[in-house]
Amino acid sequence: MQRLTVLYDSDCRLCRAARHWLDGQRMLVRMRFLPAASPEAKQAYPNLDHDRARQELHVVSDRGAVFRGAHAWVMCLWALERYRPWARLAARPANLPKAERLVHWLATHRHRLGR
Amino acid sequence: MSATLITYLLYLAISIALTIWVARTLHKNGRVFLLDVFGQNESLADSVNHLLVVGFYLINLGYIALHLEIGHVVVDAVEGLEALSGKVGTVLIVLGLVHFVNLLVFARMRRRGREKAEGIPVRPDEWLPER
Repeated sequence: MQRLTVLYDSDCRLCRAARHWLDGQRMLVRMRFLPAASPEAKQAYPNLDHDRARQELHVVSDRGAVFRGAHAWVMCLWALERYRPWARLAARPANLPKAERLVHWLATHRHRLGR
Repeated sequence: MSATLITYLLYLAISIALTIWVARTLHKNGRVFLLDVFGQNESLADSVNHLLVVGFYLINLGYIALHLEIGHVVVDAVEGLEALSGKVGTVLIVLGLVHFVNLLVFARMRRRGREKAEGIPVRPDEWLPER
């Protein structure tokens, strides 16, 4: 895996802040950021469900693996040098459901949280 | 037997003995590293270990052979000892350099092996069809 593409909601302040935070970290796997459902994103991934990508974070690997929601967040952390151990921790079977609930809650409230 | 010849023979004996000693150390202690790199695959680790040691011998013996000539006639024991120490000293430094390069190779292989083992933590939710 050489590169991850992060499809984020560019209309949400919290998401833009998260994107900038990710971008400032030292990466073990390169990340590029595309606004979800943007023309660039649609051109890059014509087969992806872009309405869904607008609702929750999507990460797409250079080999076409799609990660959604909590899985996408785990992959973002995993790509960062400092947070790879956190990604492993979050990905444990005991923790993943909790991470999913948290990410889901964040995703539904993101517009209010970012204000 | 002339003093020059005795110096040459001593040089060869000492240098070759040192090479054998370093190569054996490398062989014995490198195995643990390589076993770790190749996921405890013993036959592969032993094979790579052997190939590395062969390379080590070739470079060092080659250098020892090239470096043999003193360039002047040795007349007495003192001159012989001086020439010998110069020669053996250079061989030791070259041995040390090659040895460290070998260690570097081991360390890099080990790191690569570990990075590879760092597979992705979660399974993809979907695979996009190949374009």
